[in-house]
Amino acid sequence: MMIKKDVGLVLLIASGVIFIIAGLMQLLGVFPLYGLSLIEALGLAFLASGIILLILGLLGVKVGGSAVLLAISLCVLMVISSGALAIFTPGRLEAGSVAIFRTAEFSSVSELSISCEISSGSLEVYSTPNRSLLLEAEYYVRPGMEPTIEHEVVGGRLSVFLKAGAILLRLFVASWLPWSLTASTSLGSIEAELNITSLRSLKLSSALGSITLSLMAQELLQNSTITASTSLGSLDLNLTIGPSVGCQVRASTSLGSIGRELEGFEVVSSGWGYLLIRSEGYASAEHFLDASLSTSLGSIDVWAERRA
Amino acid sequence: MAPSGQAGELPTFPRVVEKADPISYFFLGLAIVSLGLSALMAQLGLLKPLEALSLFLWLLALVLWLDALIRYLRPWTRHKSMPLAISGSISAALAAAVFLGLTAWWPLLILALGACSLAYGLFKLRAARTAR
Repeated sequence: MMIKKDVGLVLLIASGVIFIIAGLMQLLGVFPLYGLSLIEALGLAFLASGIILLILGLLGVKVGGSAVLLAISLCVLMVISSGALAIFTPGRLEAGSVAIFRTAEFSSVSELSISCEISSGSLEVYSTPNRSLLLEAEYYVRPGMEPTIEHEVVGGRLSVFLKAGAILLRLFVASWLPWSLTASTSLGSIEAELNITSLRSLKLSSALGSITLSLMAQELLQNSTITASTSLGSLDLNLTIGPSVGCQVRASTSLGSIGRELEGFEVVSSGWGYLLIRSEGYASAEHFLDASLSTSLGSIDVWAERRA
Repeated sequence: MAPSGQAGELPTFPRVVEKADPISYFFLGLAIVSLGLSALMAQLGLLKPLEALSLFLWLLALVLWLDALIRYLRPWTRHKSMPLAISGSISAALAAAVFLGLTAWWPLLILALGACSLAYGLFKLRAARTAR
């Protein structure tokens, strides 16, 4: 009969086996729980660990570190099983696929709305002046993990919905017609390099990833809003505007720091974890750009320039 | 030998092993030489920074494994050989992952950790059963 002292060693052995299975699954690209979100996978892992600890506690077994290691190994196994980290095997990614929405096919479209939800990987967004193109989505995924892309045209507005687990996604958005983008990622980073002259709204959020925005608008065709938020990642904004644009940037962070480098902008108010800046001549501007940046732990850096 | 110490102070006990452990100094020296060698090769342009890091981790793994082996052959210090062997295995896995590309090969670390846990658990379980 097994002595209580040996239970700790048995748990250690079980942890080892679980770690080996998890490592092999990641290397071989086997993700049996693909489809579960990261939070669901972690929730299941915590549930299993908690039940095991409860049982051991009821049996009066002292296992200490072995139980903690078992809980960690279960979390690793569940996260890997869900395919949340599938993108970190570049050699096994499928060659880039492309989804294209051309102007010729959607001639009645006068406005573009994009919604994008990614679990892990990265999202890059670029604007393109190419008038034959409305939207191009170039992506790299593992075989069998293709994203779902749906679209509809209502009243001249093309709405595209894109959802993916682990993906490297590059979007090219037409900058010559009014457009809006809402994108969120759990683990992935977001990078945007955009001409926002025709932008209506841009909403970006990431739980653990960083967000880097490089935005330029010599003029605005309408008022625009930008919202970017991340919990643990950092947030960088590089903004260049023309004299006809009235711009306000509000940055707030809970525990991170805020850095700024301004030209043609003035600080309206600033404090610990808070910054509000406005472009010179804000009140007399034709159109307004309102940007709101927030992080929990990550730092925020703002470079803003108003060109005459 | 009785514990020494004045009244009101905590007693001090003599060390069981009076001599310093010369093996530690030898292998610490080897580890520092490995670090210096890797840094030098990177500085001279013979290796890229990541290659130099990988080389250092490989050399460190060799040093740790050798240390573990020598300690295992000496009953005095046998108890230290398992942690050293485990550290060496993890260092080797990290070296391989850095060399092959950390973004793709990071699971090697998990594999090494799992193999070490498994080996340590089986070894201790067998020792406990033999003792009984």
